[in-house]
Amino acid sequence: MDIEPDMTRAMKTFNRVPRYGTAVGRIMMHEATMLNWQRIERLIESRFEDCITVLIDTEYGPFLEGATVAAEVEAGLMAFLKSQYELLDAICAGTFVPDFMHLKYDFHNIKVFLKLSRGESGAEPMLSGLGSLDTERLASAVEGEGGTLGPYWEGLIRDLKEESDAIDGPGAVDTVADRVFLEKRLAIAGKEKSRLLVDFSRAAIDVANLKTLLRGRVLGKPPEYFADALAAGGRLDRSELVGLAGDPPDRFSARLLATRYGGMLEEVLHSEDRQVRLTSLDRDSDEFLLEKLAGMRRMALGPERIVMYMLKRENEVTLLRVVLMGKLHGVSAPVIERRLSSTYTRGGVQV
Amino acid sequence: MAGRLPVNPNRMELLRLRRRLTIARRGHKLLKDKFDELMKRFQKAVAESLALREEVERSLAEAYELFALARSETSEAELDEALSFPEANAELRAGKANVVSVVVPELELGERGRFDSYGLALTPSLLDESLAMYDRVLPEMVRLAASERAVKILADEIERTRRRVNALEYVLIPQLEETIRFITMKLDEFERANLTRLMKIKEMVSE
Repeated sequence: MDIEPDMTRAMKTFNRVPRYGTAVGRIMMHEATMLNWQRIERLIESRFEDCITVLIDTEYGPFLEGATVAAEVEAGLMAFLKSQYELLDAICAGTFVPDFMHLKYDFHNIKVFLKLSRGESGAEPMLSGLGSLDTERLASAVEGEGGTLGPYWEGLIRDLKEESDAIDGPGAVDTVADRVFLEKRLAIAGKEKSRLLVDFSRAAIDVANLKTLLRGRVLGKPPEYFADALAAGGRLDRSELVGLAGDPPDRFSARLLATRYGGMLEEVLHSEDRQVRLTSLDRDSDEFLLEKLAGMRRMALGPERIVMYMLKRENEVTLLRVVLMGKLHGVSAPVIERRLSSTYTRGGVQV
Repeated sequence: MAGRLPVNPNRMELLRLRRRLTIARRGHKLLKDKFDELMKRFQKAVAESLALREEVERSLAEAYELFALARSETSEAELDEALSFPEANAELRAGKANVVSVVVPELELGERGRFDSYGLALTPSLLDESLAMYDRVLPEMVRLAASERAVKILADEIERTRRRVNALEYVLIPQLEETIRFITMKLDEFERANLTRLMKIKEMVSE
């Protein structure tokens, strides 16, 4: 454990007051408006029209009012998320937090343009409006035109391109870009020296690696795929995970259960029911990361509180999408409930 | 009522009609046999097609529900991006098969490449299962398409054959029989009239 000297810690806290004081205050105000489990339960039990009525009284009201089809729900939720990111950009300007949060969407847009450079069809519907990079400049940078996004992004795009070109198959861009995104996010957290964010980013890498490993084995991916897809920087050693990919099922399960994530994977590895396995992997990994976020609540002042709020909001938007889309597609209430993290349902941990 | 064909009652016509009647009876028998065989094949094809449709609909409903859930766990843009430029592509080969002289289509699906050409780290796990299910159900859907088309073609052929059998059985053969009977009667009548005329002439000559 690298405990910082008291003086450094005191200086850090002092520095954080002017940088994050106002932002955390505003974030705490928004935190109070998040959906609680009683409201989520009510949504799960309601029909789609009633869900919209319930949501009218929340922050989602202006964005979802009058939504009747999946496209309107999606547009409303994305508009809400965009408003949250605009708030983030406004209150955290000049800090690393927007970079940390936008990174996922910038990588998404990079993936779109990299794939387009390999194929055809239009990019517009696939682009995310939540990225921080200008999409026209991004397109130019992917085309190889220098001087548009600055050396950091241009170098990163060049590396991504070279690495994905070296791998065969159309999935190469996703494989490489997802891995690099997780590693870069950890690097940003490390640069800011935020232990909680570093912990969270490392846990996210582990969870993503485990998901890739478990899903890749089921899908019969070749061993070399795991070497390209698994990210470095997590608590679990990457090379060990790559080695696990070829292990027989019994040994594979035993070795995974012996890791710090054994509890999270128990149901996934042992359940005979395919539906349970599928549901568990995503839900349990989401819950694990949400529990990681819970630790950030202790930080009264600092970027962690803001990141926690944004990640929880993103999670809440996903949850609402699961409920509303489920209702629109006629999915039964118990099936929807199974998909949701227990954090949001009765008896769950309130983050 | 079958009615009678508008023909001249003479011996040539009678011979021609008898030949036609023989051919019509033979044709009727052949068509009836074809009809029976078609019905047998049709019933079998319908039963297979129904079972296949039930299976396909059940699989599709399950895949659709899984996909809807997977779809709801990620944004539309992210899912579109993940599923853009797939590696897998399908090639449909169409052929023909002969069922009781009826040509029905034969479809064969040739697939190349993997369907899972997306990142596994950040996409929902349900996507794998829903796409695997779609992948499994696709050849069945092609089989169903061929089977249902064959059922439709067989049904049309049965309808056509049934009309032909009925036309022969209830119209042409009775008409031919009626006309033959009419010509026979007419010829007999001519024969009788001729005989009477000859007897009268003989009587007049002997006086």
